Amino acid sequence: MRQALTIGLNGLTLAALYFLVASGLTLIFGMMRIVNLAHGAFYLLGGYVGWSVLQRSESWGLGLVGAAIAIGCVGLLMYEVLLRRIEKEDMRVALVTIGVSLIMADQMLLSYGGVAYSLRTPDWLRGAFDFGFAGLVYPRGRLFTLVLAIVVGIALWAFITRTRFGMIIRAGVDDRDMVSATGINVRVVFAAVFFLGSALAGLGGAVGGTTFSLSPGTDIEYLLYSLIVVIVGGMGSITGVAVGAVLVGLVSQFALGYIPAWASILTFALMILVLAVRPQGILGRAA
Amino acid sequence: MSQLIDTKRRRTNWVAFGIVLALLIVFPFVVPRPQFWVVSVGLRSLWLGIVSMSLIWLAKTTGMLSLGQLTFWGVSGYMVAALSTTGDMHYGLSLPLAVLAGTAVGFLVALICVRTQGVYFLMLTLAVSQLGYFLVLQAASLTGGFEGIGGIRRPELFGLSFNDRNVLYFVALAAAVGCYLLCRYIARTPFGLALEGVRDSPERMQALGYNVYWYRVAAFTFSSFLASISGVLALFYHGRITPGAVDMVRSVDVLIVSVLGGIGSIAGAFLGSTGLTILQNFSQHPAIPVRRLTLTGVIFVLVLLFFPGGIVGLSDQARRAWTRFRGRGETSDDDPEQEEPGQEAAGTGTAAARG
Repeated sequence: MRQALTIGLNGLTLAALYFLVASGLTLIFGMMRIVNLAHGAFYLLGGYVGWSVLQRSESWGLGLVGAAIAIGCVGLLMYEVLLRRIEKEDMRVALVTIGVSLIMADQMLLSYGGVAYSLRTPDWLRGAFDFGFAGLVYPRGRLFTLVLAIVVGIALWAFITRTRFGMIIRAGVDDRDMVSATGINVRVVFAAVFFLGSALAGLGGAVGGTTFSLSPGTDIEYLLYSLIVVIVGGMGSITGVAVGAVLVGLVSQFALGYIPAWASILTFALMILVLAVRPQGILGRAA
Repeated sequence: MSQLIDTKRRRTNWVAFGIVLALLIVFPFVVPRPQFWVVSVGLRSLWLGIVSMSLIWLAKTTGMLSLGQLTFWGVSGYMVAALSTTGDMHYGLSLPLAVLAGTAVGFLVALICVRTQGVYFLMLTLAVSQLGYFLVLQAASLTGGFEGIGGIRRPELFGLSFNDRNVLYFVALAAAVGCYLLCRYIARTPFGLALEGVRDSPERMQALGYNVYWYRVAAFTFSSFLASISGVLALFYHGRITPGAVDMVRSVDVLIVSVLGGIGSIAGAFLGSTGLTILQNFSQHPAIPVRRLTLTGVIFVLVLLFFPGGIVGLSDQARRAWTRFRGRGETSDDDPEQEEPGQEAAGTGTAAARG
């Protein structure tokens, strides 16, 4: 019982991290039909930036904020310089982001080397949290990830459904041309969404770099899991990402706990199952 | 009129093909430093060209851009290594089995992947290729895990040993020419024409009674067959196989080759693979200050942004730029033939994406 609960919590906290990262990917895709395959590289760079800021400022919170803002700016730069001129051709855009991810991975290897980094957990997140039943204790740091993901999720949801800006985004998803015809400056909206989506990857990197480690290859791993999460949940839907992240997190952790040799196969099987029944993902809309 | 041009162009194509082939046949006998030029450049360009051709053929004929070709390449490579090096199976049996296994995995992947189109297909094949990488690492009892399988003995064919670099070069050349001609041939069969129909207007083909889904599965399976052949050649080229050979960077290499050569033309695969191989060999030169992968990435992005037709599309692009430069201010466009190849070359984005 206690083992199952612990594994369940492992799954949920991992899902929280996947949600943070993949929600940025899906936000950008939902608005602009841009698949940012450099998202994994953004995650890793976010982690590195968070680490560097933490080293200098001794403040974990500042590290998180710094990572989010820095990666938001990197994303914005990539969008404005490279992608905007070809944004109508979704395939070409996706390929350019692969190139960017390659360059970033190589440059990060040059600056940070091949060793693993980890952000130092702040004192108030150290130690374990006692649930007070079934003898369940769990690391505070990982529970914080879960809380953070829920807060970010609710904030995103409120932002998209309750604000004027969110209304523009939703309208843009449905009919981009009509939105710009009503006099809204779609360019600014696009830039803002790209900033926000990338910032989420950076934030995810700093948070993930605290719980887990950062090293070359982490970028590909998180890109892969983000892709699986959005493929399972449905591209372009924030709720879909939440559902996908929870499913992928739970399936992979329970598989790892009970039948470790099958962990990645079962994650893959989940994706196949969803695609076989609903090619557009659980909450995705048919293209 | 158009038929006349067509016949003329076809004849020019065959003449060009013959000249290139003749040059490639004398190539190993005339170059200096054969270990470098014949093996590091020639052989590598050939197998990399075949696997890239499988990507280009699929993208050109069906509009589906796959990032998973290296998975089938890896399946066949690992299969040969596991059967004939770890095990003791004769190459006469293990080689066909390996190609068959790669093709069969391609078929299974196709059953799922072709249900999606456009960037979804791209993401899905990327996910498949990365899962393939993690599976290889995990199934250590079969694949040797991180170490991979080394010490591959090269086979003998009619008393000629593959250990001789020229023999291996000519085998690879024969395979490349065979695959190329097969692609050209298929494009002219009813099957190839139906595939183009499926690419341009799936709804109409469906209405005409074609089973669009199975046509896509068949096309994907054929492309994985090409990739599997390349996998066997690459195994003998490397003499070993490791998970590093099927990781993300290598998958992207195949993509870069295709984009560099030009996704509109299957012959571009070999131009692209030669270009990338030479670039990667010479970028290690101390005079070049940028790291190899960074340089590759930068060139890839630049080609995508400014030369969407790749090397093959360069002449068309130059011609169009020249026409625009000469006829500035005039709106004359009296040569309709000129537009067509350009659009095909730009197919990276348009045709492939809309699929």
